Amino acid sequence: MLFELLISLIIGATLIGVGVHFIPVGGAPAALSTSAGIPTGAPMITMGMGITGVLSAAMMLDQPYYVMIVSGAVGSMIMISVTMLFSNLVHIYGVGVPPSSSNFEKDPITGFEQEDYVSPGTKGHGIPTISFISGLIGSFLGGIGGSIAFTSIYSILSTNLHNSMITNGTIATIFSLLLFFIVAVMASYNIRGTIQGFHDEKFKQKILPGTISCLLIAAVLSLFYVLIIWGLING
Amino acid sequence: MAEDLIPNQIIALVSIIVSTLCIYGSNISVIGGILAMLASVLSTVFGTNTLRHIGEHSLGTGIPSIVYMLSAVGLVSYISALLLSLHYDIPLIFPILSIIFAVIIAAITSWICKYVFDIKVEILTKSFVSIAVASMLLMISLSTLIAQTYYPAVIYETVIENGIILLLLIISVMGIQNPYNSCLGPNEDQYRTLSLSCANAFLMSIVISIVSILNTEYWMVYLLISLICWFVFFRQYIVYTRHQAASIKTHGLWPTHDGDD
Repeated sequence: MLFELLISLIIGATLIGVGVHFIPVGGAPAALSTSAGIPTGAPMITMGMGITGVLSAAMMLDQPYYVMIVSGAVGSMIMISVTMLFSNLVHIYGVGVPPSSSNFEKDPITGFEQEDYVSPGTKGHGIPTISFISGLIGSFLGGIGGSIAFTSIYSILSTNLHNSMITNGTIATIFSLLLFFIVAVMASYNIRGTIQGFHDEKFKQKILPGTISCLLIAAVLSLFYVLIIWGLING
Repeated sequence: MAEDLIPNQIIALVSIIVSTLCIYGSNISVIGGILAMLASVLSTVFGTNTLRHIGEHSLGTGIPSIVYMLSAVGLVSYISALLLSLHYDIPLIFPILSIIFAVIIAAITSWICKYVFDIKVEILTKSFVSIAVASMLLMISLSTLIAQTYYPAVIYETVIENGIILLLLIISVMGIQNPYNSCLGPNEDQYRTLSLSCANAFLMSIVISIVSILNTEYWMVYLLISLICWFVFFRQYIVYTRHQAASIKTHGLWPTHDGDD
Protein backbone atom coordinates (compact mmCIF):
# COMPACT_ATOMS: atom_id res chain seq x y z
CA MET A 1 0.00 0.00 0.00
CA LEU A 2 2.75 2.43 0.99
CA PHE A 3 4.85 1.12 -1.91
CA GLU A 4 2.11 2.07 -4.37
CA LEU A 5 2.03 5.54 -2.81
CA LEU A 6 5.82 5.83 -3.24
CA ILE A 7 5.63 4.87 -6.93
CA SER A 8 2.72 7.19 -7.72
CA LEU A 9 4.37 10.12 -5.90
CA ILE A 10 7.60 9.61 -7.87
CA ILE A 11 5.64 9.45 -11.16
CA GLY A 12 3.62 12.54 -10.25
CA ALA A 13 6.62 14.65 -9.22
CA THR A 14 8.60 13.66 -12.31
CA LEU A 15 5.64 14.59 -14.54
CA ILE A 16 5.50 18.01 -12.84
CA GLY A 17 9.23 18.53 -13.45
CA VAL A 18 9.01 17.51 -17.13
CA GLY A 19 5.90 19.66 -17.63
CA VAL A 20 7.68 22.80 -16.41
CA HIS A 21 10.20 22.47 -19.25
CA PHE A 22 7.41 22.65 -21.88
CA ILE A 23 5.99 25.98 -20.68
CA PRO A 24 7.28 29.02 -22.63
CA VAL A 25 8.85 31.23 -19.95
CA GLY A 26 10.01 34.74 -20.78
CA GLY A 27 10.90 36.15 -17.38
CA ALA A 28 11.48 39.86 -16.84
CA PRO A 29 12.65 40.53 -20.47
CA ALA A 30 9.28 39.33 -21.77
CA ALA A 31 7.54 41.92 -19.60
CA LEU A 32 9.53 44.58 -21.52
CA SER A 33 8.64 42.87 -24.87
CA THR A 34 12.29 42.05 -25.57
CA SER A 35 11.90 38.26 -25.34
CA ALA A 36 9.16 35.78 -26.24
CA GLY A 37 7.22 33.81 -23.62
CA ILE A 38 4.99 34.34 -20.60
CA PRO A 39 6.16 37.54 -18.85
CA THR A 40 7.02 36.09 -15.42
CA GLY A 41 9.52 33.69 -13.86
CA ALA A 42 9.18 29.92 -14.17
CA PRO A 43 8.54 29.27 -10.43
CA MET A 44 5.67 31.75 -10.22
CA ILE A 45 3.79 30.51 -13.30
CA THR A 46 4.23 26.87 -12.21
CA MET A 47 2.98 27.56 -8.70
CA GLY A 48 -0.09 29.25 -10.15
CA MET A 49 -0.60 26.24 -12.42
CA GLY A 50 -0.13 23.81 -9.52
CA ILE A 51 -2.51 25.59 -7.18
CA THR A 52 -5.24 25.78 -9.86
CA GLY A 53 -4.75 22.12 -10.79
CA VAL A 54 -4.81 20.79 -7.23
CA LEU A 55 -7.83 22.93 -6.30
CA SER A 56 -9.80 21.79 -9.34
CA ALA A 57 -8.89 18.18 -8.48
CA ALA A 58 -10.09 18.82 -4.91
CA MET A 59 -13.44 20.06 -6.22
CA MET A 60 -14.18 16.52 -7.48
CA LEU A 61 -13.54 14.78 -4.13
CA ASP A 62 -16.65 12.58 -4.22
CA GLN A 63 -16.14 11.47 -7.85
CA PRO A 64 -14.10 8.44 -9.07
CA TYR A 65 -10.32 8.89 -9.08
CA TYR A 66 -9.87 9.21 -12.86
CA VAL A 67 -12.32 12.15 -12.86
CA MET A 68 -10.20 13.87 -10.18
CA ILE A 69 -7.02 13.39 -12.23
CA VAL A 70 -8.57 14.66 -15.48
CA SER A 71 -10.16 17.60 -13.63
CA GLY A 72 -6.76 18.64 -12.27
CA ALA A 73 -5.19 18.49 -15.73
CA VAL A 74 -8.00 20.54 -17.29
CA GLY A 75 -7.80 23.14 -14.50
CA SER A 76 -4.08 23.64 -15.08
CA MET A 77 -4.57 23.85 -18.86
CA ILE A 78 -7.30 26.49 -18.50
CA MET A 79 -5.12 28.58 -16.19
CA ILE A 80 -2.08 28.51 -18.48
CA SER A 81 -4.06 29.10 -21.68
CA VAL A 82 -5.93 32.08 -20.21
CA THR A 83 -2.60 33.54 -19.05
CA MET A 84 -1.02 33.10 -22.49
CA LEU A 85 -4.10 34.44 -24.34
CA PHE A 86 -4.25 37.64 -22.31
CA SER A 87 -0.47 38.09 -22.48
CA ASN A 88 -0.78 37.88 -26.27
CA LEU A 89 -3.73 40.30 -26.29
CA VAL A 90 -1.71 42.87 -24.33
CA HIS A 91 1.29 42.41 -26.60
CA ILE A 92 -0.63 42.60 -29.89
CA TYR A 93 -3.21 45.33 -29.15
CA GLY A 94 -1.43 47.19 -26.33
CA VAL A 95 2.27 47.18 -27.20
CA GLY A 96 1.70 46.64 -30.93
CA VAL A 97 4.14 43.82 -31.71
CA PRO A 98 3.47 40.53 -33.55
CA PRO A 99 4.09 37.27 -31.60
CA SER A 100 7.41 35.87 -32.83
CA SER A 101 10.64 34.40 -31.49
CA SER A 102 14.21 34.32 -32.76
CA ASN A 103 14.93 31.01 -30.98
CA PHE A 104 13.68 29.05 -34.03
CA GLU A 105 13.59 29.96 -37.73
CA LYS A 106 10.13 28.82 -38.81
CA ASP A 107 6.91 28.13 -36.96
CA PRO A 108 5.99 24.57 -38.07
CA ILE A 109 2.23 25.14 -37.65
CA THR A 110 1.65 28.54 -39.26
CA GLY A 111 4.73 28.35 -41.51
CA PHE A 112 5.73 31.98 -40.85
CA GLU A 113 9.42 32.89 -41.10
CA GLN A 114 10.18 34.33 -37.65
CA GLU A 115 13.08 36.52 -38.77
CA ASP A 116 10.79 38.98 -40.60
CA TYR A 117 8.65 39.76 -37.53
CA VAL A 118 11.28 40.03 -34.77
CA SER A 119 12.12 43.66 -33.92
CA PRO A 120 15.86 44.45 -34.23
CA GLY A 121 17.70 44.22 -30.92
CA THR A 122 15.15 41.89 -29.29
CA LYS A 123 14.79 38.12 -29.04
CA GLY A 124 11.12 38.16 -29.97
CA HIS A 125 7.86 39.14 -28.32
CA GLY A 126 4.50 37.61 -27.47
CA ILE A 127 3.81 33.85 -27.61
CA PRO A 128 3.98 32.23 -31.09
CA THR A 129 1.57 29.40 -32.00
CA ILE A 130 4.03 26.54 -31.45
CA SER A 131 4.98 27.89 -28.00
CA PHE A 132 1.28 28.22 -27.14
CA ILE A 133 0.72 24.53 -27.96
CA SER A 134 3.86 23.58 -26.03
CA GLY A 135 2.52 25.47 -23.02
CA LEU A 136 -0.76 23.51 -23.26
CA ILE A 137 1.18 20.19 -23.31
CA GLY A 138 3.30 21.30 -20.35
CA SER A 139 0.32 22.33 -18.24
CA PHE A 140 -1.42 19.03 -19.10
CA LEU A 141 1.61 17.05 -17.84
CA GLY A 142 2.02 19.24 -14.75
CA GLY A 143 -1.68 19.11 -13.91
CA ILE A 144 -1.77 15.31 -14.30
CA GLY A 145 1.34 14.97 -12.09
CA GLY A 146 -0.07 17.21 -9.35
CA SER A 147 -3.46 15.51 -9.32
CA ILE A 148 -1.88 12.01 -9.32
CA ALA A 149 0.01 13.00 -6.15
CA PHE A 150 -3.16 14.55 -4.68
CA THR A 151 -5.35 11.55 -5.53
CA SER A 152 -2.90 8.95 -4.21
CA ILE A 153 -2.45 10.77 -0.88
CA TYR A 154 -6.20 11.38 -0.56
CA SER A 155 -7.16 7.78 -1.32
CA ILE A 156 -4.69 6.32 1.19
CA LEU A 157 -5.90 8.78 3.86
CA SER A 158 -9.59 8.17 3.22
CA THR A 159 -9.27 4.38 3.43
CA ASN A 160 -7.13 4.36 6.61
CA LEU A 161 -8.24 7.34 8.70
CA HIS A 162 -11.64 8.13 10.17
CA ASN A 163 -11.38 11.88 9.50
CA SER A 164 -14.00 13.90 7.66
CA MET A 165 -13.65 14.34 3.89
CA ILE A 166 -12.67 18.01 4.34
CA THR A 167 -9.78 17.18 6.71
CA ASN A 168 -8.38 14.50 4.41
CA GLY A 169 -8.71 16.83 1.45
CA THR A 170 -6.91 19.65 3.34
CA ILE A 171 -3.96 17.44 4.28
CA ALA A 172 -3.68 16.01 0.75
CA THR A 173 -3.83 19.54 -0.76
CA ILE A 174 -1.06 20.80 1.55
CA PHE A 175 1.26 17.92 0.66
CA SER A 176 0.70 18.04 -3.09
CA LEU A 177 1.24 21.83 -3.13
CA LEU A 178 4.56 21.40 -1.28
CA LEU A 179 5.60 18.92 -3.99
CA PHE A 180 4.83 21.59 -6.63
CA PHE A 181 6.79 24.27 -4.74
CA ILE A 182 9.98 22.19 -4.56
CA VAL A 183 9.98 20.42 -7.96
CA ALA A 184 8.99 23.52 -9.95
CA VAL A 185 11.84 25.61 -8.53
CA MET A 186 14.34 22.79 -9.16
CA ALA A 187 13.17 22.60 -12.79
CA SER A 188 13.51 26.36 -13.21
CA TYR A 189 17.08 26.25 -11.84
CA ASN A 190 17.74 23.82 -14.69
CA ILE A 191 16.12 26.09 -17.32
CA ARG A 192 18.06 29.21 -16.21
CA GLY A 193 16.27 32.12 -17.83
CA THR A 194 14.01 31.80 -20.86
CA ILE A 195 12.80 28.85 -22.94
CA GLN A 196 10.30 28.73 -25.84
CA GLY A 197 8.75 25.26 -25.67
CA PHE A 198 9.68 21.95 -27.27
CA HIS A 199 10.58 23.43 -30.67
CA ASP A 200 13.46 25.39 -29.06
CA GLU A 201 17.07 24.15 -29.33
CA LYS A 202 17.54 24.80 -25.60
CA PHE A 203 14.80 22.28 -24.79
CA LYS A 204 16.79 19.40 -26.30
CA GLN A 205 19.84 20.29 -24.17
CA LYS A 206 17.91 20.80 -20.95
CA ILE A 207 15.29 18.02 -20.88
CA LEU A 208 17.62 15.13 -19.95
CA PRO A 209 19.35 16.63 -16.87
CA GLY A 210 15.98 18.12 -15.91
CA THR A 211 14.28 14.71 -15.93
CA ILE A 212 17.14 13.04 -14.01
CA SER A 213 17.21 15.72 -11.31
CA CYS A 214 13.42 15.75 -10.93
CA LEU A 215 13.49 11.95 -10.56
CA LEU A 216 16.18 12.24 -7.85
CA ILE A 217 14.46 14.97 -5.84
CA ALA A 218 11.11 13.19 -6.30
CA ALA A 219 12.60 9.97 -4.86
CA VAL A 220 13.99 11.79 -1.79
CA LEU A 221 10.76 13.71 -1.17
CA SER A 222 8.59 10.61 -1.69
CA LEU A 223 10.56 8.75 1.00
CA PHE A 224 9.80 11.57 3.46
CA TYR A 225 6.16 11.63 2.31
CA VAL A 226 5.83 7.89 2.94
CA LEU A 227 7.28 8.52 6.42
CA ILE A 228 4.66 11.25 6.97
CA ILE A 229 1.74 9.13 5.75
CA TRP A 230 2.95 6.15 7.81
CA GLY A 231 3.07 8.42 10.87
CA LEU A 232 -0.43 9.75 10.11
CA ILE A 233 -1.91 6.26 9.77
CA ASN A 234 -0.18 4.73 12.80
CA GLY A 235 -0.02 7.85 14.97
CA MET B 1 27.67 46.22 -0.45
CA ALA B 2 29.16 47.64 2.72
CA GLU B 3 31.12 45.50 5.17
CA ASP B 4 29.05 43.34 7.49
CA LEU B 5 28.95 44.80 10.98
CA ILE B 6 27.66 41.59 12.58
CA PRO B 7 29.30 38.42 11.15
CA ASN B 8 27.00 35.74 9.73
CA GLN B 9 28.37 32.97 11.99
CA ILE B 10 27.39 34.78 15.19
CA ILE B 11 23.86 35.46 13.90
CA ALA B 12 23.51 31.81 12.84
CA LEU B 13 24.75 30.38 16.14
CA VAL B 14 22.75 32.73 18.36
CA SER B 15 19.51 32.39 16.41
CA ILE B 16 19.57 28.58 16.10
CA ILE B 17 20.37 27.99 19.79
CA VAL B 18 18.17 30.72 21.27
CA SER B 19 15.22 29.92 18.97
CA THR B 20 15.34 26.22 19.88
CA LEU B 21 15.49 27.06 23.60
CA CYS B 22 12.61 29.53 23.21
CA ILE B 23 10.53 26.87 21.43
CA TYR B 24 11.19 24.51 24.34
CA GLY B 25 10.14 27.28 26.74
CA SER B 26 6.82 27.94 25.01
CA ASN B 27 4.93 25.76 27.52
CA ILE B 28 5.07 28.46 30.20
CA SER B 29 1.82 30.43 30.30
CA VAL B 30 1.91 34.09 29.09
CA ILE B 31 5.75 34.18 28.85
CA GLY B 32 5.67 31.27 26.35
CA GLY B 33 4.03 33.36 23.64
CA ILE B 34 6.58 36.16 24.10
CA LEU B 35 9.40 33.60 23.84
CA ALA B 36 7.83 32.27 20.62
CA MET B 37 7.78 35.83 19.24
CA LEU B 38 11.47 36.23 20.12
CA ALA B 39 12.25 32.95 18.31
CA SER B 40 10.37 34.12 15.22
CA VAL B 41 12.29 37.42 15.13
CA LEU B 42 15.67 35.69 15.50
CA SER B 43 14.96 33.12 12.78
CA THR B 44 13.70 35.80 10.37
CA VAL B 45 16.90 37.77 10.89
CA PHE B 46 18.96 34.61 10.33
CA GLY B 47 17.13 33.79 7.08
CA THR B 48 17.41 37.32 5.70
CA ASN B 49 21.09 37.61 6.58
CA THR B 50 21.85 34.34 4.75
CA LEU B 51 19.80 35.50 1.77
CA ARG B 52 21.94 38.65 1.59
CA HIS B 53 24.97 36.50 0.86
CA ILE B 54 23.44 33.96 -1.59
CA GLY B 55 21.43 36.70 -3.33
CA GLU B 56 24.59 38.26 -4.80
CA HIS B 57 25.17 35.14 -6.93
CA SER B 58 23.02 34.41 -9.96
CA LEU B 59 21.24 31.06 -9.70
CA GLY B 60 19.29 31.38 -12.94
CA THR B 61 16.00 32.59 -11.47
CA GLY B 62 14.74 35.21 -9.02
CA ILE B 63 15.51 35.55 -5.33
CA PRO B 64 11.99 34.75 -3.99
CA SER B 65 12.08 31.28 -5.57
CA ILE B 66 14.99 30.16 -3.33
CA VAL B 67 12.97 30.99 -0.24
CA TYR B 68 9.83 29.40 -1.71
CA MET B 69 11.60 26.10 -2.32
CA LEU B 70 13.51 25.98 0.97
CA SER B 71 10.46 26.94 3.04
CA ALA B 72 8.62 24.03 1.42
CA VAL B 73 11.60 21.81 2.32
CA GLY B 74 11.42 23.13 5.88
CA LEU B 75 7.68 22.44 6.07
CA VAL B 76 8.13 18.83 4.84
CA SER B 77 10.78 18.19 7.52
CA TYR B 78 8.63 19.95 10.15
CA ILE B 79 5.61 17.75 9.45
CA SER B 80 7.60 14.51 9.22
CA ALA B 81 9.41 15.21 12.53
CA LEU B 82 6.09 16.15 14.14
CA LEU B 83 4.41 12.91 13.10
CA LEU B 84 7.41 10.76 14.08
CA SER B 85 7.55 12.27 17.58
CA LEU B 86 3.77 11.87 17.77
CA HIS B 87 4.07 8.20 16.86
CA TYR B 88 6.81 7.40 19.37
CA ASP B 89 5.25 9.74 21.95
CA ILE B 90 8.46 11.70 22.71
CA PRO B 91 7.54 15.41 22.34
CA LEU B 92 11.03 16.49 23.39
CA ILE B 93 12.74 15.35 20.15
CA PHE B 94 10.38 17.26 17.80
CA PRO B 95 12.36 20.54 17.28
CA ILE B 96 15.75 18.80 17.15
CA LEU B 97 14.52 16.11 14.74
CA SER B 98 13.01 18.71 12.39
CA ILE B 99 16.33 20.60 12.28
CA ILE B 100 18.10 17.33 11.36
CA PHE B 101 15.55 16.50 8.62
CA ALA B 102 15.72 20.04 7.20
CA VAL B 103 19.53 19.81 7.01
CA ILE B 104 19.33 16.44 5.21
CA ILE B 105 16.76 17.46 2.57
CA ALA B 106 18.33 20.89 1.92
CA ALA B 107 21.78 19.33 1.55
CA ILE B 108 20.50 16.76 -1.00
CA THR B 109 18.75 19.58 -2.92
CA SER B 110 21.93 21.64 -3.05
CA TRP B 111 23.99 18.64 -4.18
CA ILE B 112 21.59 18.07 -7.07
CA CYS B 113 21.97 21.77 -7.99
CA LYS B 114 25.75 21.48 -7.77
CA TYR B 115 26.41 18.24 -9.60
CA VAL B 116 23.49 17.82 -12.05
CA PHE B 117 22.86 21.47 -13.00
CA ASP B 118 26.49 22.53 -12.63
CA ILE B 119 25.79 25.69 -10.58
CA LYS B 120 29.21 26.89 -9.43
CA VAL B 121 28.56 28.79 -6.20
CA GLU B 122 30.77 27.95 -3.23
CA ILE B 123 28.38 28.87 -0.43
CA LEU B 124 25.41 27.06 -2.03
CA THR B 125 25.15 24.10 0.40
CA LYS B 126 25.72 26.26 3.48
CA SER B 127 23.16 28.85 2.41
CA PHE B 128 20.52 26.31 1.38
CA VAL B 129 20.82 24.52 4.73
CA SER B 130 20.73 27.84 6.65
CA ILE B 131 17.63 29.17 4.87
CA ALA B 132 15.80 25.83 5.25
CA VAL B 133 16.58 25.70 8.99
CA ALA B 134 15.67 29.38 9.47
CA SER B 135 12.30 29.10 7.71
CA MET B 136 11.55 25.87 9.56
CA LEU B 137 12.30 27.46 12.95
CA LEU B 138 10.16 30.45 11.94
CA MET B 139 7.19 28.22 11.09
CA ILE B 140 7.58 26.20 14.33
CA SER B 141 7.75 29.34 16.45
CA LEU B 142 4.66 30.83 14.80
CA SER B 143 2.84 27.51 15.34
CA THR B 144 3.83 27.50 19.02
CA LEU B 145 2.49 31.05 19.29
CA ILE B 146 -0.86 29.77 17.99
CA ALA B 147 -0.90 26.50 19.97
CA GLN B 148 0.73 27.93 23.16
CA THR B 149 2.83 24.76 23.47
CA TYR B 150 5.32 22.73 21.45
CA TYR B 151 3.54 19.40 22.06
CA PRO B 152 3.03 17.75 18.64
CA ALA B 153 -0.49 16.49 19.39
CA VAL B 154 -1.76 20.03 20.11
CA ILE B 155 0.09 21.54 17.14
CA TYR B 156 -1.35 18.87 14.82
CA GLU B 157 -4.88 19.62 15.99
CA THR B 158 -4.72 23.43 16.03
CA VAL B 159 -2.38 24.23 13.12
CA ILE B 160 -2.08 21.43 10.57
CA GLU B 161 -5.47 19.75 10.48
CA ASN B 162 -7.36 22.96 9.67
CA GLY B 163 -4.88 24.21 7.06
CA ILE B 164 -3.49 27.27 8.93
CA ILE B 165 -0.02 25.86 8.15
CA LEU B 166 -0.35 27.08 4.52
CA LEU B 167 -0.88 30.63 5.81
CA LEU B 168 2.26 30.23 7.93
CA LEU B 169 4.22 28.98 4.89
CA ILE B 170 3.29 31.94 2.65
CA ILE B 171 3.70 34.48 5.46
CA SER B 172 7.19 33.21 6.37
CA VAL B 173 8.31 33.23 2.73
CA MET B 174 7.23 36.86 2.49
CA GLY B 175 8.83 37.76 5.81
CA ILE B 176 12.22 36.34 4.89
CA GLN B 177 12.52 37.43 1.25
CA ASN B 178 10.86 40.85 1.37
CA PRO B 179 13.60 42.76 3.30
CA TYR B 180 16.43 41.76 0.96
CA ASN B 181 14.31 42.16 -2.17
CA SER B 182 13.26 45.67 -1.19
CA CYS B 183 16.69 46.84 0.02
CA LEU B 184 18.96 45.29 -2.61
CA GLY B 185 21.22 47.55 -4.60
CA PRO B 186 24.78 48.85 -4.65
CA ASN B 187 24.67 50.43 -1.20
CA GLU B 188 22.63 47.72 0.56
CA ASP B 189 23.46 47.85 4.26
CA GLN B 190 23.18 45.17 6.92
CA TYR B 191 21.58 47.32 9.62
CA ARG B 192 18.93 48.68 7.25
CA THR B 193 17.96 45.25 5.85
CA LEU B 194 17.91 43.52 9.24
CA SER B 195 15.86 46.28 10.90
CA LEU B 196 13.27 45.83 8.15
CA SER B 197 13.31 42.07 8.72
CA CYS B 198 12.69 42.59 12.48
CA ALA B 199 9.79 44.87 11.58
CA ASN B 200 8.44 42.17 9.23
CA ALA B 201 8.69 39.52 11.95
CA PHE B 202 6.60 41.65 14.31
CA LEU B 203 4.14 42.37 11.48
CA MET B 204 3.74 38.58 11.20
CA SER B 205 3.18 38.24 14.94
CA ILE B 206 0.42 40.88 14.76
CA VAL B 207 -1.51 38.58 12.40
CA ILE B 208 -0.63 35.39 14.26
CA SER B 209 -1.55 36.79 17.68
CA ILE B 210 -5.01 37.56 16.27
CA VAL B 211 -5.20 33.95 14.99
CA SER B 212 -4.22 32.70 18.48
CA ILE B 213 -7.52 34.08 19.84
CA LEU B 214 -8.79 30.48 19.50
CA ASN B 215 -6.43 29.05 22.12
CA THR B 216 -5.50 31.73 24.64
CA GLU B 217 -7.10 34.64 26.48
CA TYR B 218 -3.80 36.58 26.58
CA TRP B 219 -3.83 37.32 22.83
CA MET B 220 -4.34 41.03 23.62
CA VAL B 221 -0.94 41.10 25.38
CA TYR B 222 0.81 39.57 22.36
CA LEU B 223 -0.99 41.91 19.97
CA LEU B 224 0.03 44.96 22.02
CA ILE B 225 3.68 43.86 22.32
CA SER B 226 4.00 43.13 18.61
CA LEU B 227 2.34 46.41 17.63
CA ILE B 228 4.74 48.43 19.82
CA CYS B 229 7.83 46.50 18.64
CA TRP B 230 6.76 46.79 14.98
CA PHE B 231 6.46 50.56 15.38
CA VAL B 232 9.91 50.81 17.04
CA PHE B 233 11.70 48.72 14.39
CA PHE B 234 9.95 50.32 11.44
CA ARG B 235 10.91 53.75 12.77
CA GLN B 236 14.48 52.55 13.09
CA TYR B 237 14.34 51.34 9.47
CA ILE B 238 13.17 54.77 8.31
CA VAL B 239 16.02 56.40 10.30
CA TYR B 240 18.60 54.17 8.57
CA THR B 241 17.02 54.81 5.16
CA ARG B 242 17.15 58.58 5.66
CA HIS B 243 20.75 58.32 6.84
CA GLN B 244 21.75 56.49 3.66
CA ALA B 245 19.72 58.79 1.46
CA ALA B 246 21.65 61.71 2.95
CA SER B 247 24.95 59.97 2.22
CA ILE B 248 23.87 59.52 -1.41
CA LYS B 249 22.84 63.17 -1.63
CA THR B 250 26.27 64.35 -0.49
CA HIS B 251 28.43 61.76 -2.29
CA GLY B 252 26.50 61.21 -5.58
CA LEU B 253 24.04 58.59 -6.75
CA TRP B 254 26.23 55.50 -7.30
CA PRO B 255 29.30 54.56 -5.24
CA THR B 256 32.44 54.57 -7.39
CA HIS B 257 33.56 51.19 -6.04
CA ASP B 258 32.27 48.52 -3.65
CA GLY B 259 32.20 49.47 0.01
CA ASP B 260 32.30 53.21 -0.61
CA ASP B 261 29.81 54.90 1.70
